[in-house]
This record gives sequence, C-alpha cells and structure tokens, in this order.
Amino acid sequence: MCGYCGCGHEHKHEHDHAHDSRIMQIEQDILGENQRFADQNRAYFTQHGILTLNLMSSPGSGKTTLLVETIRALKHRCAISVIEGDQQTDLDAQRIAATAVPVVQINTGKACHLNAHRIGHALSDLAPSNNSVLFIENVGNLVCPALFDLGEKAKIVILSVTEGDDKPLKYPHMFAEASLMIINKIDLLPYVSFNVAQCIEYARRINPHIAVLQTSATTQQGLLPWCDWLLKTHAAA
Amino acid sequence: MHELNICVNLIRILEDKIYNALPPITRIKTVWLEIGQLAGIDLDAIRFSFPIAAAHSLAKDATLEIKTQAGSAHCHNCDKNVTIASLLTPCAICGQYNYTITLGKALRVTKMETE
Repeated sequence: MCGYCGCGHEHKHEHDHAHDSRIMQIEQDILGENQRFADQNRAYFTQHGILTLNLMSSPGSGKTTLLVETIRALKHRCAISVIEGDQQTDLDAQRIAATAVPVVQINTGKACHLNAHRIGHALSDLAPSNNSVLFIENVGNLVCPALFDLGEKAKIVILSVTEGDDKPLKYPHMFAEASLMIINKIDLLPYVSFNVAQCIEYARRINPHIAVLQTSATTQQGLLPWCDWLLKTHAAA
Repeated sequence: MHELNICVNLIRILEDKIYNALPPITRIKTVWLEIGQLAGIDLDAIRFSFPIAAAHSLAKDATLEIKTQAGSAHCHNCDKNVTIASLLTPCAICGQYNYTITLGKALRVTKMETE
C-alpha cells in the first residue's frame, strides 16, 4: 500500500495523482443541529414553567378536534397556547383560534415533520405565558416526526380506532418515543374491528412504560381522565 | 421521507467543516456514515437522497460509505445484554420485550475524504 496517501496501490510516485487527498475526522450527530435547537427550546420551557406536549398521529385521527375539546374544558383552569403544524393551509389554526387561545400555524411546505428550529421561531411569535400549557400539533404522519425532538416535555401519540389496532407494530418508532397513547374515536368501536386490549399489548411490547387513555372527542367520553392527566403533568412540570 | 432532510443536514455539516480549510478543498470524495439498525432510518432512502441533497455542493460526486451499528438492549427479566434487530425483536432468551435499548440509534457522520 502506498504509505503516503493510503490509496491501496504499491507504486512509485511517478504519476500525477491525487496525493493531496485528506481524511477529515468528523464524528458528529447528523441531527445534532436539531438537538441544539431542541435543547434551547427545552431550557426556555423549563425557565418559564411551560408544559409542552408534542401531539403526533396519522392524518385524520382527530388531533385537532380533541385539542379543541380539551381547550374548551381546561382554558379556565390554565393558560393554553397552540402551535399547529401542517404542510399547507391554516385550517387547523382557524379552528383553534375560534376557542380564543393564542395559536401560531407553521406550514412545513414539503417537509413531513416539524423541527426544533421552526418551533423556536414560532415561540417568538406566540410568546406563551409563564406556567402555561403549550400543545404542538405535529404534521399528520406516523413516521418522521418521531425522530425530531422539539424540546417538548412529552410526546403523545393519538391513534383512532378506524386506523386499526396493529399500528403500534407497524410504526414502532413513534410508539417507542411516546409517553402516552390516546386511543381516540372510541364511540366508533361498535362499528369497526378494533381490539383495544390487543392494541395496548402491541404498544407496550414496543414501549413497556407507555400510558394509555381512551377518548372520543365528539361524545366527550374519556375527556375527564385526559384532562386529569394534563393537570397532573402540568402540576409536576 | 425524512431521509432527504437528513441528507440536507449532512451536507450542511460537511460544508461547515471544509469552510475556510487551507489549502482549499475542491471536492469531497467519500463520506462515512454510521447508522444504527434502530435509528428509524432507511439506508436505501439515504442512498437515494444523498446525491439529490449533494447536487450543488462539493460532495456532488462523493461516494457514501455506510457502516451499520447493530441494535443491542439490556433485558430486565434476564439481566443480560441481547441483540435486537428491530424494535419488534423480543429478547432472544426470555421472548419478552422488557428491555432498554443500549445501542443501535446512531445517526452519525464519522469522517470524509477530501481533495
């Protein structure tokens, strides 16, 4: 082997080849930049006593409806604000704005997830009050958002019964990262073949510590335990 | 889907490293990555996305060398370290999932070759 450039050839240095090749050691996390922004966001939340929750699910699981009902139930007990993430439109932000809590819409354009940098900018616009609860509604997607820390206190995955009880196994990274799984639209259970016990067993296979709640945003079923969970988590934050 | 975004971040890291290097670097020839089996990253999608993300950079003709990091976990039932090929792999000894992942989530650029 060439002792000079390590190019693999046994040769004399007669020909003109790239002897100025250099190996540069890097050893850097590729998502390190996102992590630095997430750490900054987390420090900001801690400093201001803000409980931040990152809500993730597939499109159409009922995240926004659940959020609207949650805000109606809790807005007189604690200050709430919302960051909405969607590829396009401010339809969700309009629904949240109708509940009269502060909301900022982030349109990710072609991106399939929110990142910590965008959240940092949204925070300067939103200026959530001290000791408030901040919901971040991520882009509807059970894959990509799981990888991007936003600085939140906890990730919550919402799964509606129309999607099927096998989703925790099909999208394990999302369920591995979440502290709480909310099974939503349980008013539809009589009409779909969704096995709640099986779903919970799958989720705990991936994540033995995941907490589980069952709700229906339209009939308000299960809303009380969810609000209790929120207030308890808020008090502990 | 997120692999393209990850490649964009990767190119940004590489460009930061060679910025102002002396003597000036004219191209990036090889990039070495280490990606864990449990990192939630599809290697084919990375290989597909890299040339797109690199198209207007000094890495546009670079070769990508990917080293995979095997997944490993500590089983709380058996009190032993076991190999975990995916998040759906049970402990090879007790067949349960009561474990904490200890290795396999790497998503790192380790080095590059430039000229």
